[in-house]
Amino acid sequence: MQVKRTKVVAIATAAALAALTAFTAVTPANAAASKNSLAGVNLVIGSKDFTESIVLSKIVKQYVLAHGGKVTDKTNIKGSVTTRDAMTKGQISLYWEYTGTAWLVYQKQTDTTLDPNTLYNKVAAADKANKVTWLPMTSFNDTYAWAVTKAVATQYGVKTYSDMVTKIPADKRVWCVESEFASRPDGMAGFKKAYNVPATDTIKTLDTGAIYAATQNGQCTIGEVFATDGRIGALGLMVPKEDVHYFPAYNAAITTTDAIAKKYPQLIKALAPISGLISNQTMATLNARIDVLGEDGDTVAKSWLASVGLL
Amino acid sequence: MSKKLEPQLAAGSVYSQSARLIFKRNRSLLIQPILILVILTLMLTYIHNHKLDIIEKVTINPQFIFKAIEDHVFLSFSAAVIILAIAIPGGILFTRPKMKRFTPIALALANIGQAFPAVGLLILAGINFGFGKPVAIGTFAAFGTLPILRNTIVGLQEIDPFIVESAMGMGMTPRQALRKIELPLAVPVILAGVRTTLILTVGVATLGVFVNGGGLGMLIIPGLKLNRQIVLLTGGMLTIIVAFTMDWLARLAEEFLRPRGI
Repeated sequence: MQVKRTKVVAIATAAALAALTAFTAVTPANAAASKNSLAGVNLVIGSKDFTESIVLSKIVKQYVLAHGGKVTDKTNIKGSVTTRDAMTKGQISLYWEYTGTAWLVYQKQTDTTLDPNTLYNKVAAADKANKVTWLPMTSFNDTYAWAVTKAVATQYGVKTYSDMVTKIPADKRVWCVESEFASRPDGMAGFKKAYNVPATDTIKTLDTGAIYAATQNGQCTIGEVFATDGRIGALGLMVPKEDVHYFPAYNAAITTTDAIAKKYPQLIKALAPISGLISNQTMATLNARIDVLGEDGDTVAKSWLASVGLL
Repeated sequence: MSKKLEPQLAAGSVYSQSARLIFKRNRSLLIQPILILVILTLMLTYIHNHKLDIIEKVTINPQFIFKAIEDHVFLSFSAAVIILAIAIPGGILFTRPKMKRFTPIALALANIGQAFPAVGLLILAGINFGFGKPVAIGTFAAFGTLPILRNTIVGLQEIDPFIVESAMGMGMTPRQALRKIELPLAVPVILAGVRTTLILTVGVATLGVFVNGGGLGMLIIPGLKLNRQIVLLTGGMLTIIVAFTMDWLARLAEEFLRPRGI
């Protein structure tokens, strides 16, 4: 049995490799001469284990493939820290990181009041010591956000985060947050102070994924979500406006090792403009195509690249 | 039907009553609380010597930690009580002659309960029945029923049928035979199952954090996600301490309930 299974795996791997080789071999041949700009580039692309991180990396993968480079797909690595370690140890060439995560988790800083640009500059500067290069950041900011159902928003006239506290009656205010958010300084504790949330409000701690469904079915009135998640629109939720600046910035940027940046300057130059094209709305749409419509990450990445004229 | 199920025996259980073994067992009964104290001391020293940053301070403070422990003990203890209330009578029921043919079905159900991915089951139950401690306890109970149910059935099945027969021959009713002969003989195996379940339940209760159940997962999960090892380790070590303490209490009960002279 064991031998048989190994054989099957071996055959499958061989087939997959053959397909990949054929694909990479065919693409440059089919492409116009100008599309060979990344010939000779050979990358191992990683990502964290959630949709947004994966689809962003798939965009880079499809872009590099379409321009004559070679890519090994190592997306969907469990956990931020593991992914970062994989890159600094050279197992993967690049992945997308968030400014806020690098600042708080890797650099163990605690000041979360910085605006997106300052934060990006500080993070990129600090990472020079770790031999990590930051490419330009996205215009989207996948920060923490609050979501309520459209029904609740209409019923109580909620347009801003302050409205959630002042207009929704106290006995209806059930906040659902993830355990991580409950225990970080830029999470619930700080938000309560910034928006004068009474200490008597009900706060439930749930799994990240469960919050969207629980907010939709009314078990939570106000759910902690990620600003660019596709499920916000799909489940009829809305994010009120942040009227008091509180949440730290989570703009994404491609991070790579200094070694890779030095080896492939043409790649860095070619990838730099991509992040500027991805707004909050674009990112939410891409996420929704995968999470809600069930499309494949590679397909979504390719069709988006084509739509902005990068293929 | 001669196929016997393997009993699950918790490590350290000794069923013989010889003097040497009792000594050994009693000594290990003393070692366990000492071990608990050692872990506790190590943990407190570690925390004391570590300069906590602002993120760590949110979770590493007495108020937060005591609440987490309290929730954790409540979750695992309640689940254990439900499990005992279901699995032991269930196990007895499924070894009675009339019900014997349903035993495979009961075991299959218990197997499903344990094989189900706990996080998935928890969140599904939460979305459908409301997030909170009741759903967490119910799910943990479904998860932990198997070892006790199986051990109760096995413990009763393993008794030599001639012993029961001779009890009947002496004029005992089936009920008397169960109470005076079968159950006392099966107690060691049943209690081994109880201890397995207690430890399992304390471990699974760390998932309570996903469904608004609280517990030590409130330290473990953020510790992992925020890369704060001290938070993660504190949560982990406290889980071990809670599990060890509950196991120790169960062992005391085992000593106390074990039939003498059989």
